[in-house]
Amino acid sequence: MTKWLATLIKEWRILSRDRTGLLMLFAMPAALVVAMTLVQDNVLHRSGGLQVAGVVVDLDGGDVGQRLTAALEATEVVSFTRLVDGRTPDPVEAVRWIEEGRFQFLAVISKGITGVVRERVQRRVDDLMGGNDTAEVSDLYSAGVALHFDPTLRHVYRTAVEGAVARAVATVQTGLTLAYLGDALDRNLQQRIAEATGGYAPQGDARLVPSLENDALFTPVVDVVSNGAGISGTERLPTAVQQNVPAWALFGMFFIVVPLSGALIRERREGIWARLMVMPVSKTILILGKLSAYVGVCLVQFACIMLVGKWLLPLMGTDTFMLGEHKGAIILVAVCSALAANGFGLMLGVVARTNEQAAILGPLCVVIAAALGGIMVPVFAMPQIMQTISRGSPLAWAHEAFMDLLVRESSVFQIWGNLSLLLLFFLLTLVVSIVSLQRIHR
Amino acid sequence: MAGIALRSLDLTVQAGEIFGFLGPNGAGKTTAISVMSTLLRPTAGRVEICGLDAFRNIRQVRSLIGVVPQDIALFDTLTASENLTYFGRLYGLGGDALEEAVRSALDVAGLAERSQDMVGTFSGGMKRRINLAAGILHRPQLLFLDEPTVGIDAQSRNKIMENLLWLKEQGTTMIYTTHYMEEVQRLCSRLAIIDEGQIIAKDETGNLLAQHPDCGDLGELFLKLTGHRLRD
Repeated sequence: MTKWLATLIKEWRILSRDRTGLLMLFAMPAALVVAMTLVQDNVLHRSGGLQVAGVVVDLDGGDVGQRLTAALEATEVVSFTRLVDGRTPDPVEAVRWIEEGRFQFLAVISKGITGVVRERVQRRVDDLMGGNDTAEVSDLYSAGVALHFDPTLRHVYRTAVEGAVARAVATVQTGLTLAYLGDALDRNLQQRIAEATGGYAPQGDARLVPSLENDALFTPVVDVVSNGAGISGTERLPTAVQQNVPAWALFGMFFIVVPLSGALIRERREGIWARLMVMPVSKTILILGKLSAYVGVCLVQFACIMLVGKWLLPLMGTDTFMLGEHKGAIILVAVCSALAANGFGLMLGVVARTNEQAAILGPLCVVIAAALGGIMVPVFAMPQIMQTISRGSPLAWAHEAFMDLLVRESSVFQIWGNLSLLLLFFLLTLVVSIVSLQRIHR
Repeated sequence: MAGIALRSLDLTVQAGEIFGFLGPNGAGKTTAISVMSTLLRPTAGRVEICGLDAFRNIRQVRSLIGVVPQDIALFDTLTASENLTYFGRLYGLGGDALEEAVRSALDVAGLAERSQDMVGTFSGGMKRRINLAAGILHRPQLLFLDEPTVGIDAQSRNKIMENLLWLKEQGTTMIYTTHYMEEVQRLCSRLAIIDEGQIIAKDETGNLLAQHPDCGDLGELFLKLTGHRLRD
């Protein structure tokens, strides 16, 4: 116990005097988590439809143009603006605004759309009433509303805008169709009654068919409810903060491989390890002492990044990082992740022959494992082959466990698979390290 | 015989003596010290220290021995005192005994006033002295010294020599390897010369010189026995 503690204290002393190492371990992940969260926070807000904004220009001015404009302005998914700086813009200046980045898209309702739509709706309904149910192919969508996008706007947002316009056109078209259909049915019915009664027809303006242009008909009769896939029913939205804080904390924790492997290589090359090996102390105690110190550093690192998410990021306008209900499970994942990171650092320190090898190989492996593990890009956004490969990354196991706890509100029983993988990885690297050390001094 | 570092090595060192272990570069001195100090397990043969089989009673034997390696095997970013305290704890020392051992080792090294300075700030001679101090903290019965005076000035070398003679007076047995023949002549009562993994001469220093009257000193004797061929 004393020898383990002495080793732990010795490592902490050495680490506390390594300013470059400390900067890399603490400042680097803190800077990364702040930068990446602020960048992605904006993107995610855009994904949520709060900031993708465009202009709608009505060149028609008629009934259909006004109805379309109103329908688009009522859209919640993306933001359509009719008046800019208190006036109606023309398409040329609206295009310029897109180029300048003020807006992301433009919808131009063509001149004469009211006449075209009314004429086509009437013809279609008349054909229907006359027994001809084959409607001609309409070019209304391409000819009636023209969309212009910022070339940098991502496909997902374009699809959202196109969907919103298509829905608005469908709503207006349905409204007009129902209105004209109601009138046509009424006329047709009155005409048939008159024919059947020999000219006798109901008097006055009384309608036999009520007007179908009724708002009640447009009210949805089916609710669409969005739910998470978790079983707790208390899932949170995956905000940039909830995603990035644990992700970059993990990235920073795995960078412990650099000082740990460097320290081991230095001890081996400078003869310190040989000196320790002829002292009455076991390798296991020395390794455990070293590991305990570095695992402790990783946990302090993790706590610091959590504090950045809790206190610093909200000051910069992001959401607050929420630990949720399973704080114990989160600490457990952090400990398992720290063990996996340190196991890898230990193995690297034993297998690598020079500090240069470890200094290049260590960060390279961590960056690749982080990229594969969904730290930089979500795993689901990767090609299938990369998603398969990512299942081999310890950072993926740890990140998935954190996401399960922080976003999906899973319990420790639902993350045991990933915890087991992290612990197995740690044990495997530990065994490889100890066996390699035995071979060095056999 | 390629790959075999030591052959038919048979050495007995008497309690309380300083035994010189000489040889050209690559002769097998460090390998022999590594085996004797339990760092390397031999493929054949055995090592007995203070009546104990070294590899069967490894923990017990390691408490009895001290090693001063050729490398400055110290932590540069720890102070002299912190280095010694750490190694002392690994030898099982604690409390007042540890404090006393560290103080005494610093005195022996002549570094009591620099005890709170980081080893990385020390000169080569100071590092060599503290390297020796780390090996004698626990007052070992047998001390292995692998070229402990390489690359230092005459003053530090002299200080180390004085310390070793003082340790001998205290009853410490030492096995001493070096390339400096005058050190061997000054310190060692007996010596062995090893070349290509086997001992080619072993006797009391005076007897060896007497057996080769054509050699004026130990340096000439060494060259006569090991030859003038360069060993790189």
